[in-house]
Amino acid sequence: MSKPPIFLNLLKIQLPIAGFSSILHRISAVGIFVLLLPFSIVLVLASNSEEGFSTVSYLLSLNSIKILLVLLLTGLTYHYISGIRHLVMDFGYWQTLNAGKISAILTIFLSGLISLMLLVVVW
Amino acid sequence: MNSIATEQISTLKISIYRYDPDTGNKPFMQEMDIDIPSDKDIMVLDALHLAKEQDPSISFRRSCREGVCGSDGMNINGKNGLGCITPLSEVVKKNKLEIRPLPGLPVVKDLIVDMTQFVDQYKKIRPYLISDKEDNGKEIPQTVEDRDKLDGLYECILCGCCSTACPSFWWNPDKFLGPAALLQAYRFISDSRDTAREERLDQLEDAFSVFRCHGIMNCVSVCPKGLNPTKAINEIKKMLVKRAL
Repeated sequence: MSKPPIFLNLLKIQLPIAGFSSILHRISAVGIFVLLLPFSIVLVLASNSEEGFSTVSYLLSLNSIKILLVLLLTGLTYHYISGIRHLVMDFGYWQTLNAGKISAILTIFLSGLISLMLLVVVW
Repeated sequence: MNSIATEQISTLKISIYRYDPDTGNKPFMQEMDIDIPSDKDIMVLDALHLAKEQDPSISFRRSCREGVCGSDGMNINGKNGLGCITPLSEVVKKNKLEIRPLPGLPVVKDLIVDMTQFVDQYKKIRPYLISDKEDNGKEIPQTVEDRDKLDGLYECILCGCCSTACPSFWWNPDKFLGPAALLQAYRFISDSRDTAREERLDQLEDAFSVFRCHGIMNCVSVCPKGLNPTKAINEIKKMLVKRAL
């Protein structure tokens, strides 16, 4: 007898905003994991010698690197704010469906706003 | 032909997940038009019965038809719920209704899923009162305040809507207990008459049983009884952390 099917088409299952926020939290963690090491190397390079600093200055003037930097900062911002939201919930607050929705919306909105500001600063 | 006792009729496009283990064919969505009364709001379960009049092979569970037995949990236009207490007006969009089985569980036939994983997790939490006090044949008294602590917990009908809406349960149905089982775990942990509180907490103290919940609140969003498993899970987490400190 063949294995029974399982319905798990994520495109057909509604995800509330709190769930969407949680997925973004995971995605931002992966992004940070991937980007933090290269940018840490860049930071070390910049602080080691004048030549290194010039190289990093050049790198940071490239649009592709600027985009990666903004992505890293956006990820960090979102992960940080979302982490605080989760901590507040761990302490027993914002546990109703409505509070969960509002806090998720605020997390996304606030992170978006700060990311826009970072975008302006980096450029 | 559909038979409904009303004068005003409108047509609803209904799309139902079909799977027949005897044919071995892949699941597919069967689309059909059903006549529904336009002068009153009927339930999703009623719509399914109307569809079944057209095609009697459509299979689904149902019993009490009033949100008590919890047997007709299904995925309705993307959201889990009980067919019998979900009015069409709440879920139909663009005159279309899509009905699929509860997500993440093996499909037995059409909308009928194998609840074994769900029930196994429920069994693990020992969903009954454990007391080391001598049984004198009388009831164990409880103060009104202690009894109030069970409100919002005991009402669960084990329909499975919450656990099957939970991504943590989808990925680890054998390790993460799921919102339904954890709500019941907390129901017995908070019961003043139960004397196995510490043993129950011991059983939950691992990386998966409780702590796989990341508070996304899908369970709260879909619970047809308006319960809050996320809150109960957080209370268990807090108890475990307090014990560890």
